[in-house]
Amino acid sequence: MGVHAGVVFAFFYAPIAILIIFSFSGDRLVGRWGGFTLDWYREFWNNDQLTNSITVSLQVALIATVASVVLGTLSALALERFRFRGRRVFDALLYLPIIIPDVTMGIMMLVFFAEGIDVVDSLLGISLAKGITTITLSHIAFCISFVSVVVRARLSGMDSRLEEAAMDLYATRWQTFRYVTLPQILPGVAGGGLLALTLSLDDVVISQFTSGPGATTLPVYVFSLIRKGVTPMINSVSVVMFLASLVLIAAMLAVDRLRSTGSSVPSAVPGGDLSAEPAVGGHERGDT
Amino acid sequence: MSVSEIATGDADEEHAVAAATPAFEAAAARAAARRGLFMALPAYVYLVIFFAVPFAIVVVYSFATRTRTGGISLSGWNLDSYRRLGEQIVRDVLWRSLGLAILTTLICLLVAYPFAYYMTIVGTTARNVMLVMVMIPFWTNFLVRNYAWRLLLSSGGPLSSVTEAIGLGETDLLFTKTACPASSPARSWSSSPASAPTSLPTSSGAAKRFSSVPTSSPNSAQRGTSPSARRCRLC
Repeated sequence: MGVHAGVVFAFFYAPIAILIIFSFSGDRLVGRWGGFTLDWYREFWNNDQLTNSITVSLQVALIATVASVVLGTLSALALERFRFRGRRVFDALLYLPIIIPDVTMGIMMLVFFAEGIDVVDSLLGISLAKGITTITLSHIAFCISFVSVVVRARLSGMDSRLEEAAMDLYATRWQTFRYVTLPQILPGVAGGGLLALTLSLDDVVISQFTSGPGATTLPVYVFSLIRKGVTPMINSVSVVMFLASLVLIAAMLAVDRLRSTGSSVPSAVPGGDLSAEPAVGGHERGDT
Repeated sequence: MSVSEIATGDADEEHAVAAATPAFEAAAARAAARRGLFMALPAYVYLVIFFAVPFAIVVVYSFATRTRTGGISLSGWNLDSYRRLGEQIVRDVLWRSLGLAILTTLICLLVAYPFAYYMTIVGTTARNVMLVMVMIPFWTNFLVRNYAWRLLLSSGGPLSSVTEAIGLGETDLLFTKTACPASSPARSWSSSPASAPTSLPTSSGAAKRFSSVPTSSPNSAQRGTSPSARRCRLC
């Protein structure tokens, strides 16, 4: 079975290894080795359109992440801790962006922004620029759902009696949230945020439909490069994108660690039954 | 948490004793409901404007007719767009998609099950390393991943040179049906052994569908002990 695992990993990593190797190849033909060179990285760095698209991507991703973390966390708290009118509808509405195919969502947003944007403009009394704004708006729309799912998972694992105890001890609602709830769900919030960031940075399909002239995200630009014809510069861009994913994964692992240490706080509460979150405590126990 | 519990927690300090009266409880429950709605409202409104409305527009348009200029005429509702699903070319595409999806699913199940099982019997360190190594391709941009496959499979590319060198002749798998199942498992496989990204519906519905089955039995045997279960919370 070890061999099997090795083959699986070879399958995973062979293309990536080839990609990295050939990004240093001096040959104009993508699949042929032509001596070591850094030319493609230089070309990538000097390509204004490419560097612009990176800026656009980062802008969109950061705004979408912050907005969806705030909105997603609020909706997770509302759904997990309160009963209110329209709760079921809201719950269903939150899940839809997750299950809907990217293409469908992209077309929806395209039609909406093409036909409905004037209505929104006049309703909100603003003028939404097509391009960065439309990409960001549609990214927020699907990121909210993912953040709220992650935060809800964390919240449901948290003992709500901790909040009740805090309020029994004369903490205001805000104090309870600030000093009890938030520290508890913080790993979930951070995890959701990283997920939103990754999804936004990776998205091709929806961005493709909602991007306008002068506002292209990096994946959309790379996709158009690949379609136009393959140049070895794409190799170097891909390697950089791959490295960016590695950084994000490292951040996720760090958040994961934070999550396990976070569990030490509630376990200090005498008599607090924390079996609601078996995944965290169980790990250490099971390993012996 | 039940409504009454929230209501009690909601009560102002000086009224805590009075919470027993039904009228008070009802008022507190209403206050909690208002608070909940108030918290959900921003996301609610956002999703209605930027998701429900676009969705409704597309549904309405699906019954509309296309004008000669390529616009949409909002009169003369009909089922033409749905009838077009029955056309030969559309049918072919649908069947091909379905066939490839099924084939990919089967291959993934066959390959991922032993892999997932192996993960549960190796030591902790090895398991963590394997998990991280599975996470990396999963979280890598799918453009990058697929482009890498394209590079590997391209005619005159690395794979082709290898098969030529060992006397199998040039291979040209790119843009064939074979290439599709070969490259797509990258996503679905990577999710299945970990059991991790499965708990959260990923943007790729396919990965989610493919992956829930193989992990269930080996991992549930050790539920709570496997680091993959722990990671569920993250992914």
